[in-house]
Amino acid sequence: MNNFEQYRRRFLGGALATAGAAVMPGLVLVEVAHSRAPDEPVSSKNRWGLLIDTTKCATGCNECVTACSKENGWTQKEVYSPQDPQWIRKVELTHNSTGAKHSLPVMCQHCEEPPCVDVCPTGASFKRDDGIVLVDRHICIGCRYCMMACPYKARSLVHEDLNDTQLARMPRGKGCVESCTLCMHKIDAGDNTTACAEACPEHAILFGDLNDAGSEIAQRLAGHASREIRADLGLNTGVRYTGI
Amino acid sequence: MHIINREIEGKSAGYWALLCGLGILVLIGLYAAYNMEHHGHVITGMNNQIVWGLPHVFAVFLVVAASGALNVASVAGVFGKKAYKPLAPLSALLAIALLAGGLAVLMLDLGRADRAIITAWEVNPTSVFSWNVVLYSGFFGFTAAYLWTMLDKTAKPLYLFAGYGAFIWRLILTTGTGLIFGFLVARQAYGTALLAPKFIVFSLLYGTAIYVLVLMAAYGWGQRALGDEVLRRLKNMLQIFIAASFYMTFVYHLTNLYFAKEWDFERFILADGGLYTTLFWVGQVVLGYVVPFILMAAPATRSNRAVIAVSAILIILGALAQMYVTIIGGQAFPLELFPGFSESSSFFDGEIHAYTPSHWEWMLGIGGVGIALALVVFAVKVLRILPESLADEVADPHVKK
Amino acid sequence: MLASWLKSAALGALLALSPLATAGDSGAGVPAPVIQKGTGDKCVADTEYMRRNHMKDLKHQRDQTMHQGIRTKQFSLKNCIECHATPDASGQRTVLGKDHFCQSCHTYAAVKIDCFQCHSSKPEGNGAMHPIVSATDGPGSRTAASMRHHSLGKSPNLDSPISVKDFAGVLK
Repeated sequence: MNNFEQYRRRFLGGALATAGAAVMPGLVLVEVAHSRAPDEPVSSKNRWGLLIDTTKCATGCNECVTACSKENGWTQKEVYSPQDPQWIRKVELTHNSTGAKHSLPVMCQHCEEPPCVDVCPTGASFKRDDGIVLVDRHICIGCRYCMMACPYKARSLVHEDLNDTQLARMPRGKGCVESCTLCMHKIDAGDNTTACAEACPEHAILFGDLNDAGSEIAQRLAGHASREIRADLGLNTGVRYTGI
Repeated sequence: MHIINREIEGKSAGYWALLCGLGILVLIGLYAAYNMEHHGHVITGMNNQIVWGLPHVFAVFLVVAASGALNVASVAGVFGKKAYKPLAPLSALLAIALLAGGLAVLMLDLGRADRAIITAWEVNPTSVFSWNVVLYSGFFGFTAAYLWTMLDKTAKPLYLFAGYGAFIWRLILTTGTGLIFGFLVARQAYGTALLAPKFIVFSLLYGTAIYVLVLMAAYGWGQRALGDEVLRRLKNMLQIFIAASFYMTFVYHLTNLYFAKEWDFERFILADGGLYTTLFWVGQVVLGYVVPFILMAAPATRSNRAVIAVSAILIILGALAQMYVTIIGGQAFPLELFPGFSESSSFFDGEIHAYTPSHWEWMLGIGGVGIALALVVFAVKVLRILPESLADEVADPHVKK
Repeated sequence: MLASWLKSAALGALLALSPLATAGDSGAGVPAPVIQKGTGDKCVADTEYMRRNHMKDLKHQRDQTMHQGIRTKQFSLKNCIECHATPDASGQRTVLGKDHFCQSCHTYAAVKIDCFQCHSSKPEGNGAMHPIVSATDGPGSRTAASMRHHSLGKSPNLDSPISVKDFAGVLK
């Protein structure tokens, strides 16, 4: 599918949705409440995101990392080589002057204005209508420009053959770039959560729809101070942090 | 005296030895590319922190030098300097050859080099890489047309059009190359549009230096006359370009030093960066700028041909050092996710990233140089690129007859 | 020029496929593909249709799933593997290997597939049975023509000649 076609569809989809909303507001509301059918495309009605409460996140706990690795089939290690892919990692922070310590997971931040998508020469880096930033490995040429552009170091190149060890639900391959998919396969299946959020023993990771004012994540964001990593870049990330 | 261009004879054992030697370099590069493709990038020193490595140092150097190599032709075609006209065909040929070598390295380094052709139809209008697909093709087109108008009298009416086209295109091309880095907001080393003019100035220096070396080799080995006047003009050009490159480097670092948020990065490159600091001061500044400038300016050495050749070689070594510092040094310095905090993680956050290029990367990079030079050596045999003589009485329009 | 050259290369590959169209024709010297029977009663479309069009349907579905999150089963690669995987010597069900469904036929047709450089060749729940055509998908003798309009969104234009793009990265 070429870019033009995508734009056309998005435009038509938007126009139809607007018309629908104008004619039958009730029906649209009912639709939001249901999870998506398998044949229904994702839409910008949703914007999936995470809210991470760093006050609950413990140093040394790697449950979210383990869960992500199991869910998506990348290998978690005690000591990583610089060539190993890591879709999510725990970052330990110490404030330079106060000495305050924080521990928090960092993964793809699913920006609204993703630099990786801007720079990708083939359009393999793209943002799904529901806000998830992905790599289409079918057209990724492995140039790593997206890795240069990402402010969060969220992406990894697969450096070696995986020898058919991939999981059926998550294709991965040598020479292509990959990163957190916000567990899109779980979202598509209507699970309404991610592996990391499910696994966190402290419930520090909250998954939800930023566009749904009634959702827990939207309400918490509306009621509490939160921050984006590198907010100065104005990327409007889908992953937010509180407590730091 | 009329200037006649003629193919070199190319039958000597030396010619074939040169061509074979370059052919071996090309094969070495292709062998490395095959292995990188077969085993994956695991056999290289590149990793998820230093994502672009030595191949990109060579590739960007060649691409930048390509546009600069056209400089001599532009001086003749666009600025109408007669003295440079006989030098122009080699200039255009070298531009094409260097670009081909650089692009080959860039393409063969891809994680999925087998899919490189996808860039031809999946175009992302916001990607500088996508622009470059157009820019590189256009540069090949304009420069080839320019070369054609110089070599074929029947194409003369297109001479000015092709010359101007190639000149403007090369400025856009190198702007595009600079902006590959200039538009990366995330990294402290990049994210400034200053990189575009900086790369243009660098290109003039690097391309002209390579041009001087190729010209001297072609006339030395081909036993054709090369007058002092031609070399004097090229040498003066190199001096001006060194000064301009030094200026751009100075302004770039001064800008960074003025912004407190860039201090850590500047301290890394200029003082604490180990290899990168050495490469910057010793490689780029001293060997690349200061020494050749003095050699070419000092009355005792400035008219010595060997000194000009040595200066050009030093400039090229300085250029590779500059690319290494810009590309790899820029990545070695960690991304700052949380300003004001020190960071650590299993993904090497907050630490200087280590990089040691593997022999495969050297082989691929050198293969690209081999492609560029082999193209030149082949082309001067089959095309009328080189004037039979560039002796002063032939090539200097101001010579007293 | 390059594109047209690639196009003729693709057409060449198409010619290489043509023995499949006249099924039963065992190519001289080339061992005929081993077609192991998959699990379940029948495929998601009739055999003639699948032989000619599975690559187009898969590619169409691939883009829909990737970019729009559409996860209908009929033409999903995962669904293909679910049924067509057969046990190898170690008992692992797979579609790859000399005598297994995808590879044996593609070897015969001399078409290299790169699906399994990234996709797993094994079904998700190894050995688990899934209904091939669910009740809502509609059972029975659907023809290729009606299949064309089944999948949501724009159907692939099955009458168009295979373009070079269809083979990007597939042929080596």
